[in-house]
Formats: sequence, C-alpha cells, structure tokens
Amino acid sequence: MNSDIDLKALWQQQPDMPAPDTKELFAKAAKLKMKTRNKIIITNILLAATCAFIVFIGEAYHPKMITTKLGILLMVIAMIMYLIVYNRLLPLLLKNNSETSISQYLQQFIRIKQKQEFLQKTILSIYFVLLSVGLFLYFIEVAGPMGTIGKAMVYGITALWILFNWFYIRPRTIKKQQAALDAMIDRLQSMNDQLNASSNDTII
Amino acid sequence: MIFEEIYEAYWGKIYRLCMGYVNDAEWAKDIAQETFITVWQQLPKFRNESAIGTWIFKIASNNCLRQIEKNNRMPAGEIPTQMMDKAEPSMEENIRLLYKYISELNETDRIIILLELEDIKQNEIATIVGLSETNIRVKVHRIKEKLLKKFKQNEQ
Repeated sequence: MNSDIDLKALWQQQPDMPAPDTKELFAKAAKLKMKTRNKIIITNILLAATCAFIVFIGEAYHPKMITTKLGILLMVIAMIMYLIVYNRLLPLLLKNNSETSISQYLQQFIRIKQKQEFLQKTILSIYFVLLSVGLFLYFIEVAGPMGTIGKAMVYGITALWILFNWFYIRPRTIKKQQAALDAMIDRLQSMNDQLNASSNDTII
Repeated sequence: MIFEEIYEAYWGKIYRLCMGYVNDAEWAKDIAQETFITVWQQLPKFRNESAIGTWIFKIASNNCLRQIEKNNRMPAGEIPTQMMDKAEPSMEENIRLLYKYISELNETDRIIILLELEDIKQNEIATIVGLSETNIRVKVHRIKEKLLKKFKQNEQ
C-alpha cells in the first residue's frame, strides 16, 4: 500500500451502519429511567427503615432524659444526611453538561470530581462526629444507674469504638474513595493537557 | 426538526465516531444510543437548528470521554493488542488497520481525527473541541502524519 493513502476517503468507504429501530432506543431510555427510579425507591425505603429501627430501639428503652433523645436524634440525622447526600444530592450536584465543548467538558469534569472528593471527605467526617456525639449522649442515661466500674466500662468501650472509627475506619474509607477519584482526576487532567499540548512536540 | 429524521441522518456517523473511539462494536453502540437519548431529551430545548450537527457531535464526543467513568471497561488504548480487534469481521483490512491505529492515539487526538475523517469542517471541529481553528489544523496534520507513519511501518 502506498503511504500517500487518503485517510478520509478510506474512512468514508465504510458502508453506513443502518440505524437500529428507534423502538430499541426508546426501550433503553425507559430502562435507564426505571433504573434511576428504582434507586430512589430503594434509598427511601432504606431511609425509612433506618429511622424506624433507631426510633424503635430508643422507644424500647423508654428514655427519660433529654440527652438520650438528643443522642438518638443526632444518630438519625447522621444516617439520613449520609443517605441523602450520597444518593440524592451528590448525583444532582455532580451533573455534567455534555452539550459544551470538549475542553469545557473536561474542565467541568475535573471540577466536579474535585468537588466530589471534598464533599465525600467532609460528609464522612460530619457523619462520624454526629454519630459519635449521638452515641455518647445516648449512653449517659443507659450508664446512669451503673456503678463507677460499669460507667467506666461503658464510656471506655464507647470511646474506644469512637476512636477506632475516627482514626481507622474514617481515614481508610476516605483513602479508598480518594484513590479512585484521584486516579480519575489524573487521567482527566492528562486528557486536558493533551488538548493544550504545544504544537511543537515531537511526533512519535 | 423531528427526532426520527435526525436519528436516521446521524446514526451512522455517530456510531462510527464511537466505534473509532472505543474500537468495540457493542460498546460503541451503547455510547451512540446514550448520545441519541440525550439528543431526544434535549431536542425540545434546542433552538439553533443550523448547528444541529455540531451539537450532536459535541454530545457524542463528550460521551466518549466520559467512558473513563466505566471502570469495568478499558479504553481501547489500554487494551492489549491481541484483545483489541473486536471490530466487525467483515471489515476491509485497511479500515481495520485504521481503527487499530486510531485506538492507539490518546483520547483527545482520537476525537479530533475522527471528526476530521467524518468530513466535519475544521471550524466546527474547533467549536466542538474548544480550541482555535489554527490549533485544530496543526493537530489534524500531526495526527494524520502519525497514522500514515504507522501504515508505512506496517508495509515494511
């Protein structure tokens, strides 16, 4: 073959692929819509179940002190916030507009991923703080009638659990989330750099 | 403009663009379909009918770039060569080679050359990509050189 080959002519030589029936396309659109709807339904069921469970536990003990009720409330808020942010707000906030130019799209994409990174980190920290404080408040009443040793044990174990979460589970989760996002941001950044690469690079 | 007419007129081109980007028939069909779903959803809001082609190609190009989110599927550039040829078996040898060489380019070069091969005017490519026309001209020239060099190396 000759190296003066006309790439455009070669490309245009390809037979045109007939478009699949629009029915197939609309079926796919409907399926995507259904998938989103199902996700919303599942999130809501999960939310309701979580709240019901915590309230049930709280009620089963017939809490008298305000701290216990406040503790339960904080834990419920923590879980609801976590679920809502992850399933509802985050996808909404991170919606990408595909009708812009590639260079804008890539920059938008990078910003979104950075925002996601920040949000995940912040939300996770707030989640653990609320949960820990809630748990601590909750135990004030539970440990009330106990002796000094009992109290020390309840608070000791709770404190250990909180510390373990804060210093082990939280950084691990953040690290895992960040690693995936960082890799993606790097690749997006390199795509963006490809676009802006100066025109006097050597040809490979 | 009626969606069905747009769909008939642009499916072939959009599918080829996606196919050129991922070099995998099934995957390309998915991206093309997602593109037309967006077109279908956004069409009532779209006013600038003279630039409909540019608009559709923008959506398709961005959809191609977004494929990096799908972790379970690797972009063609990273797939080992022996696995790469999932193109239609009936394809002519030179076209197969062209697909292969395009898939070895980096992501944005892939989009730029595919738009050029689809015979889209360079000022429109500039709008789609978001670079100046001069910049696009230089890039197209360099990418073509790269591809031709690969063809030449293959001959030897």
